Amino acid sequence: MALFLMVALPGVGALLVLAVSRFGLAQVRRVAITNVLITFALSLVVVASYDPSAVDRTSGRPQLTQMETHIAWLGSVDKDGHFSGPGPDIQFALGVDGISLWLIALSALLMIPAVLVSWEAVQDRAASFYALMLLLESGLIGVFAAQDIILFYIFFEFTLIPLFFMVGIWGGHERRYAARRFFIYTLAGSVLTFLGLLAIVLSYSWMAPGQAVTFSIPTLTEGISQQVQTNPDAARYWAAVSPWIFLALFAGFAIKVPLFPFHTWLPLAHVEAPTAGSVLLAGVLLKIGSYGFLRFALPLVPAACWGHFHIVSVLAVIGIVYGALLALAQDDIKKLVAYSSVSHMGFCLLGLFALNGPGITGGLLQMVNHGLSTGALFAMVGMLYERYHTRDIEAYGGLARKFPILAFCLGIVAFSSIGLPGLNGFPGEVLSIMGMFASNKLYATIALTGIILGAWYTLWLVQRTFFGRLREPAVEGHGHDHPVVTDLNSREIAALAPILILIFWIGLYPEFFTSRMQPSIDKIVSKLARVRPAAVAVEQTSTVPVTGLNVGRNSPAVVANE
Amino acid sequence: MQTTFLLLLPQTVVALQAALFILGGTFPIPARRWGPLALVALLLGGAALHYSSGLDIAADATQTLAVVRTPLTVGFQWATLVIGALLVLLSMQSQSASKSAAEFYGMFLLMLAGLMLVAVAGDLILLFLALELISIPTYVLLYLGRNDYASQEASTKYFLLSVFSAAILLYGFAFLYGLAGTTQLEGIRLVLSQAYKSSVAGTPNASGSVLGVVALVLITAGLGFKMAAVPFHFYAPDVYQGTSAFNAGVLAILPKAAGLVALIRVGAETMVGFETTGQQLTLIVAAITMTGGNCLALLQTNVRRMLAYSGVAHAGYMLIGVAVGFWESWNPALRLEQTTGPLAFMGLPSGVHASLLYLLAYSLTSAGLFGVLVYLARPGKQVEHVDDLTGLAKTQPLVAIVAAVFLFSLAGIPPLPGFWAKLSVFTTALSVRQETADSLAAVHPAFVALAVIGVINAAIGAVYYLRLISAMFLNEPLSTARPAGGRAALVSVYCAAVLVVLLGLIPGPVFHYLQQPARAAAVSATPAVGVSPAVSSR
Repeated sequence: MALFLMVALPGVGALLVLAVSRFGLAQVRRVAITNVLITFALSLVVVASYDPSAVDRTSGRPQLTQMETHIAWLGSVDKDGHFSGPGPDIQFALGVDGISLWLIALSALLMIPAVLVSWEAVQDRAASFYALMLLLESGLIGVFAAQDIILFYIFFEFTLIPLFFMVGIWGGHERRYAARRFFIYTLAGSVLTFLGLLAIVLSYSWMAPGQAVTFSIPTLTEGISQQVQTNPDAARYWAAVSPWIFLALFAGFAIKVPLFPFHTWLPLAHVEAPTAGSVLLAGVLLKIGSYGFLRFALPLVPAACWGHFHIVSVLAVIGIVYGALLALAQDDIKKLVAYSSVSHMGFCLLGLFALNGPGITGGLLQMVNHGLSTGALFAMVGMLYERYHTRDIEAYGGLARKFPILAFCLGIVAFSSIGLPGLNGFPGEVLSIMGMFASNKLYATIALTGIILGAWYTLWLVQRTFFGRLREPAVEGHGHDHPVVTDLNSREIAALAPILILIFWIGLYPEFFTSRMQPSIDKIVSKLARVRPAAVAVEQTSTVPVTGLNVGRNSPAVVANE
Repeated sequence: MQTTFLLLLPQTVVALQAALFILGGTFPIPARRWGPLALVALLLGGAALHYSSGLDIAADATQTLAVVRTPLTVGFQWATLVIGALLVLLSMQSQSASKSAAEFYGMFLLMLAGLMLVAVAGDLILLFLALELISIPTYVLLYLGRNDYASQEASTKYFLLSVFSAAILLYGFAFLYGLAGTTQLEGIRLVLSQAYKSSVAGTPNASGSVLGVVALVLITAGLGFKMAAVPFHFYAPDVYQGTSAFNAGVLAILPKAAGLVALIRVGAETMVGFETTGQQLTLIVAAITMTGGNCLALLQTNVRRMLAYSGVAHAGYMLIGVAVGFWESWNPALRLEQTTGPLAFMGLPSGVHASLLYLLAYSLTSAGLFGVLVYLARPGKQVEHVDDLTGLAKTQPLVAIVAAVFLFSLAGIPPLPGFWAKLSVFTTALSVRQETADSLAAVHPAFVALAVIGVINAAIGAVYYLRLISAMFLNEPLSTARPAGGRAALVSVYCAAVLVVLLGLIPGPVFHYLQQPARAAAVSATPAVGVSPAVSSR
């Protein structure tokens, strides 16, 4: 129920915001922030009530997907919960498991800074802005919670619409071009993903002809792997078709992540978006891509994932290094952060495509970490921009003296972003690279240079802008009166505080987070391990088992739960 | 005989009223009265349809008649009346001061009667008459619109090409008659399936099949003109650009619907045994129609021209379903598993039913979108260029939002009708299976390629729809002149928007409706099962 409310509430909030728009900006903001805070509180309820060790009472099997809601949409469901025509069995099915849990929480959390940084920055047509943002929140939580393949796609595409308008109307100088390019680029990939998803549904209906056709993601995942194991015909068919399905899924998800060389839409969209747009785009939207890999590609076509292991890993490694080098060359703060996203998302995919327990855990953790740190960085860039109206690195210097609180926050986030032990970046990056090291030493080693480069561009940015001699851009002369430039006010601190808390929490006690992911990840890992090619198997067994950080302590990396 | 007339009652009522309108034009009745009268005429047509669809007629009785009645044909006629009413509302303001309002509505009602007749025609001659009943009033309608050179060029061009295509179509019908010896579609189907069965048994009916291929090609060409499919689309952009927004909307909807339904009737459902030719033909036409239409639409700056090409592209998506329909029409693989049709078990419309869903989604959305163009016309100046729409979100926020909904639907963004239509069309293409020894080695590469071309086209299409949206929402208005389309047009646009959103959020009933067989139920006693997958097999 809490989960369903999380999807529905922001949508209702969007209508409310529009309804109160005639009572002025203050009311609009109040409704928006209240809605966002309630949704966040609900996400805490979801996190608290998610029990990774829950067991289904009737079957005795572990129940990983919890808090499910099933509402028949096109057909009808009889009182036993069985679907009974007449339309296709597309349901409004929501649920949460260890993979989506933290991403849902992240989406709800990042909405708080997104609303708070827009407080003063968005004055023109503010009600529409907040309404779109709340719609976006509905869509984002829906994407992660969807348990129906068509519902997933609907939310997946739907998120484009609010963001298109947010970037296109409230963005920077090149906003129209950026918005269109972002929309078309992502759509072009996702329509192919759509074909891949349809192919999965149809394939399962052919493999198991007697059963009702299902669009349910858990049923498809379980059903297909079961059919492939037990039915030789199905196995042969799936072996022939799964590389194509993988490529179709890859097209959409790789663009969304974005993986090199599909990243070209990203810098433009991030730079031109309004601050809240950048926070959500970098913080949550990119995760939809990596989440898609984790939800569909890895469990459904594991053999094809091994088959494309080298391609994806090499692209991820190139993305890590190339993104970092590009970030190093930027003189616009926002562009720097945008390119650093390319690099950091490379780590996520590197972890996921290590195709083993530690790697996937690291990749998933890294998704959350990147959302937090990059979200915070974009928020802080926005705060600076609001004060000085420039993002030129050269224009700043020595700001630490003038903005001690901002400097403190930026320092923490910068260190988190480069993976300082004790902060959240460390467990994520280390696990990703350890995982990849077990699968392929060369890629992991090259990726390590990405960490060094990351430290270089991040610390260099901090050094150039916040240390040294005080250098401020002129605050006068751009056409409107300015309040005296001061350090962060309480609203801005409130925007950053939840992120900072989590940065320490994940850094100091990652097991709180990983333990809830673990059973769901183990399930995927067992599917991957079953089809692991012999060459990789030899290499993996020859390495020291990964025991660091207590990950996998509760359960062995590979469980025979099938 | 009497049953035939009873079944044709709705068409007759609408056509008779049209005749009254044309006669009434000579009396001094104020022009503004004719619009509401046309709505009343449609209402009466609806009453007649309600009556005739409620008649209890034995299923086998309709087989020998020249008309067919199935739930689908009834639904199609209802849709025609609803969309007709939306279009009448659109034209009210512009006709309220026109000297030829009575003739205008008379002609328009005739076209609607023609479209309703296409839906039920079960005979080649009746079908051809029905198609002409749409074409001939169109010439008048185009000519009544405006009197500048562009308009005259448009009507002349449409007239010449339409007559030419009608001749080709008739030529094709003649071959079909020569092949089967009857003009009745059900009869042709039976003759052809007998011939097909004997050829399977080892006595190939060679001369017959050559004649059939010629007939099929000619019919596809003639109807391809009506659907504006590449390479028969050349008239569309010039005509749409040269005429009024209302006429362009009529052209975008009625002839396309007629062409699609006629192609399904004569081609996919009747020409049994020519599924290979039919498949190849429609596959190729579908692929080049989608791609050509979308790519050319990218280059346009005139809104009606852009929408003309977009309409061309949508005809291509509809043809995907027809291609699958050919495959389903007589497919060995399918015959083996009669009990579970390819998609019926999924609850999604399959084959030609997916095309019909697409047609419905497209027609509703187009009626709304052309309605927006009609509404936004300024006194003496239509919406021509994309720039005429800039900043609409500031000057007319609600209209802009509604227009964006239509455009997103055409682009196939969920959860709008365009998305469900594309979902059905692509699923049905992916579900086509080859018959091979391996029961699972299934997918048909040509159809998969078609689906891939289709989705890539969906992304290309989004580019120009998005250009319109970004002109409306992301740019500052260039002019603040008030739109002169009138309140009735606005009502029509909002009604279309409500229907579009409802169809998007609750598509279930329509999906269910489209599960029903396209042909009369009694016919499936013959072994040629599979045209329409068994209903509710679960």
